[in-house]
Amino acid sequence: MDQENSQNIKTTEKEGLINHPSSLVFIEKFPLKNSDEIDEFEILIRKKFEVDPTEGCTLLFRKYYAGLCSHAVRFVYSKEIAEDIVGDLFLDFWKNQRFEKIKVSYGAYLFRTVRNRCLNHIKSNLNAPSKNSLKDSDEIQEPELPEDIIYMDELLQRINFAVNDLPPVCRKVFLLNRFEGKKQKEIAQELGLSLRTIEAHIYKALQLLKSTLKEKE
Amino acid sequence: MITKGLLFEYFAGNSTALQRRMIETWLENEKSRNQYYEWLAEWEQVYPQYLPNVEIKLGEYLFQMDESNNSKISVAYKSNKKVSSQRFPKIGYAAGIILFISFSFYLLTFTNLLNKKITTNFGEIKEITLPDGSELTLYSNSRLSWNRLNFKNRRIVQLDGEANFKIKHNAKATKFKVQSMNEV
Repeated sequence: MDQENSQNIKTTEKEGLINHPSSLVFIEKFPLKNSDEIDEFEILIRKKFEVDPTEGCTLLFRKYYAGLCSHAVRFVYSKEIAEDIVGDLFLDFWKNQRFEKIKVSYGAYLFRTVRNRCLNHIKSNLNAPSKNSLKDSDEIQEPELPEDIIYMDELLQRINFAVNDLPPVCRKVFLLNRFEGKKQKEIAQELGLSLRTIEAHIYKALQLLKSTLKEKE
Repeated sequence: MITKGLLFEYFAGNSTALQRRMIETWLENEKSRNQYYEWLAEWEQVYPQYLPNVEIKLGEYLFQMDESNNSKISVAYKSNKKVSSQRFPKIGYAAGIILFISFSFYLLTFTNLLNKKITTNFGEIKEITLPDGSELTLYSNSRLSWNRLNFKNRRIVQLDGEANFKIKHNAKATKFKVQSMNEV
């Protein structure tokens, strides 16, 4: 192997070409732990972070922001809150330079953390007792338990069913208020109902959702 | 056995209890977990709940990153001037303009001739040694300047662009200051 190398160098010297050594050696500064299955995007992104973290974050943002928001909204049902959660996540990612310490794929980290934060949000809103310990970003180094992943997926389904099971007008009002972010006054005007009726619908929706979520806690 | 198709059905809530158990077992492996999230990200792209405005939010994100940068004192200094059309100037903009105008008058009238200026073009990187022995690497598309006469007393340089500084302690321990050329 050594012989081969020195021969190469001699040849190139003869030809007058200079192979700049840094292009031949790739030192992985932030390596992925299980990189058997080569995900090209992950490799590209990790290279980027070594050179320019801002660009790395931009690439990650462009790739995952929409998906993360869409996923978050399935839990919290408000576009605004979903965007806040995801935005905070990306800012934290940058401020604390998470890209250096994360050993799983960045996509895995982002989705897992978004799910946890959504769960935190739901629980704080419902004042429900917590069954699972909610992991903060620093604790994310621990491998995730399959049962926790499944739990989140099932929670998602439950929320989805709960919303779909709402009585039709109640559901419509809830979605306009929560998902679209429309003010109660607006909705009252739009649907031709009194403000009191709208308030009642929203209250009812929240109560029903609370009870559905608390059931299986 | 575990395919993308299966996971997509699972995400949509259309899998059987048996399939869910299969997936749970499959998830015990870290590679699988990475794969799971990769497919989840893909599923969300194909069947989104809604579509946020990514470019606008990206602009806000970059602005927030910049703001948090400026509150830190770091050796590798990057000035504000690298503004893309996606940045949000916000409230400080008007005040910044007034400051800039008065500041630039000051610069022009009093310090222009006394400034030592170094410029790098696209793709250029220059190694510079300052009069006090401090070294710096000026990256491409950047400008650096300092007051020739005054530098020994007050170590202040103006930077527009990006540089990496190696500051040398001097006997008087005067502070080394890096100012943005277009101070906002």
